[in-house]
Amino acid sequence: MNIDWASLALVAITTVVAAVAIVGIFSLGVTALTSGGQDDSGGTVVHRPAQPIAKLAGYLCVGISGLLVLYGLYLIIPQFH
Amino acid sequence: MSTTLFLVSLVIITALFFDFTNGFHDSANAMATSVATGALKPKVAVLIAAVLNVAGAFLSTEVAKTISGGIVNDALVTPTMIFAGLVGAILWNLMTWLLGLPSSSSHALFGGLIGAVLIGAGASGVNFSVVVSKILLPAVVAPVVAALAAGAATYILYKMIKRADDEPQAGWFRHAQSVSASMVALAHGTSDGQKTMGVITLVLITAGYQESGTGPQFWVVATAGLAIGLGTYSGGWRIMRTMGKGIVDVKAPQGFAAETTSAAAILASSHMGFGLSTTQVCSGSILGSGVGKKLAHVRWTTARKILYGWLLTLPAAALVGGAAAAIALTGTIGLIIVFAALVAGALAIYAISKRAPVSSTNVNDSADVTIKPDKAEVTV
Repeated sequence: MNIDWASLALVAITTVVAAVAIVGIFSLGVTALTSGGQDDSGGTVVHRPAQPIAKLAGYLCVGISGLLVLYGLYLIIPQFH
Repeated sequence: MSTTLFLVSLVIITALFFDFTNGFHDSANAMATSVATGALKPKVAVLIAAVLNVAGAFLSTEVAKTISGGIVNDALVTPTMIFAGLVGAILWNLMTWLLGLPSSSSHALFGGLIGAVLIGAGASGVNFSVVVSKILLPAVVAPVVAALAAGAATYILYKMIKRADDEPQAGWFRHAQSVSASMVALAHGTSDGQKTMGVITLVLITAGYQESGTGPQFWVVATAGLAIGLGTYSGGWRIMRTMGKGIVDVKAPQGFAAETTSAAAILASSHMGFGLSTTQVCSGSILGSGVGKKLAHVRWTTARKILYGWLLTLPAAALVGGAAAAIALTGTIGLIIVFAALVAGALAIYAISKRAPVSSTNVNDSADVTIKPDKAEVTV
């Protein structure tokens, strides 16, 4: 029986690493972008804006996630190969 | 009409019907979590999935050269056996849909073909070692790897963001989730869309209507794409409910982690030469997104039911495929009987589903898919 254990391991590791990395990067971005917290002292919840530097870092992380999506599209669409 | 033309037409119609069931069976893979979290409205979700499925079908240039990838000896396969295999696959797909079970359409097709070839050409026509290495082993690997990856991703996500389920964080995850779900839908279109095209093209070549070695004709690409798109748009709400609510009550961050994992697993498997079933990857990811979140309630009874469904897919489709082959191989009358039985079976399953329907309007109302009319559900 011919089982390709090497590709199996490669697929498994790639999946785990890619999933954790992408979710991690995007979550980091969301953390930064929502780091202003919220103010609910006045009865209604008001989301305070994040610090400019946090905002920049946040959009950077979201941007990287966006690039990873483009890479995914590149992999899916055979015409690009 | 000559006998060959009759047979070829019958196979094409059945193949397109299979493609349709493939579509509604698998629209849940991409969209169930987005529908459950409200990231996308149900009708919008299936429309996006359908459009991306059709686009994927047109994008995929390389159509399968063999129907089964070596699982059965393709030289021994006749159009009648393909027809019988498709019948087995369709009926099993409809049966699992009725029970709301996500099961692999490819495995159903392989099962049906194996049954038909066993009856039509004997045990030598089936490569059992390929069955183990290409179906059984990946079936174990896919959900385990996906569950591990999604579990780790979900765990880290909630470690980083304690209040990920609350606004405004959840809003970000809902958007991201829609994007990763769309990737799954497109990837699905490029792989599953071409399966039916391959079947039809091979039948046309076998029957002498098409030059050997040529690609699918435009009308084949167009009808196959349309069939899978229509199937996807019709939604398969029963399976959608199981995957979005039944295994875990998915929240937006979990949905994002699960869909991202699924997309990564599907792309990794299709580019690194170890094919994994989309359905099993997606089910595993969703389960993992439940295990990875503290205090999330994983409904193991549902997970177990799905597992039983997977174990049964191959033998059950093989059984129906084999029975269909035994009748269909007797001649034209046999073919007509099998086709009539397929239509009758499909209608019967559809009629049973109407007793406790699941649609775009009530998909999120409950976590269970039943076949008995449930009065409690109506009053909620």
